[in-house]
Amino acid sequence: MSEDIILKCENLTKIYGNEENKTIALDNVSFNVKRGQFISIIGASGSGKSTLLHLLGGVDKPTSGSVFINNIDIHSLTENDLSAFRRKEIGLIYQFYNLLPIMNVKENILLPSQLDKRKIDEKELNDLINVLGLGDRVTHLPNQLSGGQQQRVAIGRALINHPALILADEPTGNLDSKSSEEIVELLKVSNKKYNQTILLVTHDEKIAKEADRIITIKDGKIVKDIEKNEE
Amino acid sequence: MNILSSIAWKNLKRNKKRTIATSIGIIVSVALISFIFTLIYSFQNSMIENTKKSVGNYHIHIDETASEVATKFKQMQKIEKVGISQTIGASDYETQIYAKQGIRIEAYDETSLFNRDISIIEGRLPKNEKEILISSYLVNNMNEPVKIGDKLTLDVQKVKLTIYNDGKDSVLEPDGVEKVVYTITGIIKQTRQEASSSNAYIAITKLEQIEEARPCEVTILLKNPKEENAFYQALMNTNLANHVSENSELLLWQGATNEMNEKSQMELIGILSIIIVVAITIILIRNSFQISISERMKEFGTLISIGANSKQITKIVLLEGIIYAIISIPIGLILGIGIVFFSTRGIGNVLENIYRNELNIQFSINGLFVIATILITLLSTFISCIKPIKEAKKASPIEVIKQNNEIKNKDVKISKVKSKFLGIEGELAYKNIKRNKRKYCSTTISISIIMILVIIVSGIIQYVFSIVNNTYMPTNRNIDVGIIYGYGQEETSTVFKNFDRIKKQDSIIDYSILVSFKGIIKENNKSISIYGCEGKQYKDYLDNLGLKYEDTVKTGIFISNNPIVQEGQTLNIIIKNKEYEIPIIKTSNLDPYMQLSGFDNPKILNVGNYEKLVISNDIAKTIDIDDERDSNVRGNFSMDMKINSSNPNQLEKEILQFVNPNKIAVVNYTKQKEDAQRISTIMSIFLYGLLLVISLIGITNIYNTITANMNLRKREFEILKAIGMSNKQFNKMFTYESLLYGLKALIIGTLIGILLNYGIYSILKAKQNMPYYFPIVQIIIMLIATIMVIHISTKVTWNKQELD
Repeated sequence: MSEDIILKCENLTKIYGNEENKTIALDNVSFNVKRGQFISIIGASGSGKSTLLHLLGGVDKPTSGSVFINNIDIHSLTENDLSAFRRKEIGLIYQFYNLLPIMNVKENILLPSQLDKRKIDEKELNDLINVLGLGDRVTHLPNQLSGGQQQRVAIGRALINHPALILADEPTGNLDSKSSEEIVELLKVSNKKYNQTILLVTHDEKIAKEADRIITIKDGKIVKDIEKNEE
Repeated sequence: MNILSSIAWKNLKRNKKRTIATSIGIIVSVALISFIFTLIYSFQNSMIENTKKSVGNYHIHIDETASEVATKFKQMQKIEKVGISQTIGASDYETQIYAKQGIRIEAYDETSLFNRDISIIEGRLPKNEKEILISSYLVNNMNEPVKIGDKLTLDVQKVKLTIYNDGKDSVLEPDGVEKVVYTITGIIKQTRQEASSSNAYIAITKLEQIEEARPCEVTILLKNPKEENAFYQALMNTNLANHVSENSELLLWQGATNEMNEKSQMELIGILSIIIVVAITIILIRNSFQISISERMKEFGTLISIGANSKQITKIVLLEGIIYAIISIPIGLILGIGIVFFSTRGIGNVLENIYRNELNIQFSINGLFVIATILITLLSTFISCIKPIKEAKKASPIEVIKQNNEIKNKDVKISKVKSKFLGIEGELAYKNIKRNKRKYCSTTISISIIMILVIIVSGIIQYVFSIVNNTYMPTNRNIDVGIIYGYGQEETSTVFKNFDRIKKQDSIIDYSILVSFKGIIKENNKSISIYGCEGKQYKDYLDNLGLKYEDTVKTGIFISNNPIVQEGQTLNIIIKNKEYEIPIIKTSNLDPYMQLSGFDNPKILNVGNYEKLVISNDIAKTIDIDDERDSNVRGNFSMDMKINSSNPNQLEKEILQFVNPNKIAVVNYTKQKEDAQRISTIMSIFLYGLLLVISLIGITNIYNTITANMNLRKREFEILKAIGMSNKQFNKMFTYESLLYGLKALIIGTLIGILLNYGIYSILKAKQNMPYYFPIVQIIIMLIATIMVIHISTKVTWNKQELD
């Protein structure tokens, strides 16, 4: 495996339901991702893009196939090791932000590193908060923030542990166009500034085009995989 | 504070209402557990202390033994204290009323003075052999009043102990007479020794020097009460066997006996109550946690998705439990122990009045029980957390990502008949309940528990009142005075003297005396019951027979179906080998017993095969009555006076000043009734208070469950609204839902409650006959109240959602 390959997906299949009533969500999907790539995964509703993201993030198990992140087969890990792996190597961003309502902006961002008992680098944290544009909101609770601001907190939370991979599932799905642009811009900045590998699931072609590479999924299969420089 | 405790703490702060309700639940539970522990411990300790005072602080008592035996015990390792006393001798001494023939002088060593049943009313302990303590009982009966410091000159017939038959038997022999001038240094309450002595008062002096010839009494206090039985058995195998006895009362309260007794019964009730309290606590805390967890599944899912592992999730829930415990345990302990502290005096007074044996309940606290309470609470909190932890760990990140935190959908089938009967609103309600049975389970349990408690508690209260009211409270009198039968019982002549003195008291409205004993009819050698009578009931009886009291002063009424002597003839009766001639003034075949005994509504029955004789007490006093002193079984002898007084409490005090309370029972019904009512009031306050608190927690619990559940269905409601469901239809749906699970819970609760209520009734009925109480009113109130609470909770939550 080449050194700059951060993610390797081999024959990934996910089938829901039983024999009589089965749905193939993902059908033998294989692809590689290089470190620092910004990838969009697009497809129609029900095409399997979110399922792919869940399998890559280790929150769901494949029916068959493997996912290697930094050369580790994540689905062969024990539940506890997988938790630790997710904490350290994967940042998840959701459509509905999923912040803890009882914790303020700073606490929500710090949550993964605190769960990992990491020492906090205040300078780095402040830098991140400034990049996120949340400098004057650190002590606010999620319900005191706009949708865009909440999503920025979620991005901060995903970035805090310098994960190998950021998986964003429709992060702009719940936002107005202005906020959506800001979020995508932020993801691009983190991709450039921190050399962060990002996989973004979206059905918005305009947003998808902002990525270096666009993977199109249909009926659980990759039907198109285009890198920008190939275009 | 680390991140996990911070999350736990912030969650509790965010849900203040639930936190307070759960804390109150744990506080009440801790308070109840510590209350039960402290009350039982205080009561047992008080019983130990009371026994030490009333019987003595020793385990084994040996009487009439040689002084050398006594001193041997002092060297034994197992023994903590050996008390030695010696009988010096006795002197004749005549007093006002009692038939006791003299005063016996007992010399107590230092240990005995402090560890036997000496309770000083006035003065101090003797310091030498010329100083004595005498009982208030003796003081009250002396011909001339005495006070502390007075001299008492006695001709003491000294005694010595002769032991024979290899030490198995002994006999007391005279050992010369000495005139001794004693100084009275203290007046004490009557000792058991004096009460059981049939012929002498006891004066206690200080034992300065053990004299070999004098008989010794030894009291032994062992270091470990549990070793008493072995020690006692060993003594029983020696020559001392005939002289050894145990202080079984002290051993009982010190827990040295294994058999089932008052102590173990009390402990059993305590343990059972604690188990019930713990079970309720676990259900309440678990329920509260479960709601909290189900509301926060999204949060747990998020935490898991960003890498929190099972251990960390477990820690968060456990920490919440620990925070609850830390807040609630100290408050609960203070409350429970405080209640015992403040109520021991009140309850102590009530018990003291009822038992009349100076039962003094002192507050005592044991660190071990406090630790046990803390551990039990921590353990119940931990048990309560187990299931919620499992649920929290199951939180799925995918559900969170998908925002799919609604109730899981399940296809619920409904029959066409049901569907038609219920309508669309009813069908929705039915399906909603059926598809998440577990969510409604906690509400069902809460409602059922409250229902069960209401039925049990109202039953218990009713039974307590029933016991109080069933206690025999005669209407025609308020004080009964009677001889206590048994070893060392009072002489009949003394009892007559006591009765005569009582008759002269100011507050007496009327009285009746009945002395019952047996004799033998000389003519046919048949046994006959003889009633010596005096007072109101006797007069009423004579009136019925058309006789005057004067006519019967020296005559009797012969009751028999076949009288062997007729009116005007003489009946010859043999009692204790003496013959008495009783002229018969009237014969009758109606049994006078119920009428003469003072029954409220006496039934006059035929005497049957028995033969009876009614005489006046003027005759009875001349008879040497067979008081069954030498008999092992009481059968036919009794002496009772029934009094109707205008001031019973005062009269009781007056009577107790001159009768020996160990031999004459004085029962004051007014006071008994007041005491009993006080106890039932205290119990009702405690039980109703407990019920109120548990109901409040239960209501909060129901409210929380409903709110949580409805919030989860918010989206569903919005859809129903969007497709045109009216407020009226919503209301109808909610009403159906309340009825569906409310009624189910109430039916389960009622059935279990009635069963338990009947169980309690059966146990109590074995002790006292009483009617079964079916708390129908409470059940109806509960039915209405519960449905209302459910409906109001639903309405309030619905209105809130509407506002949102």
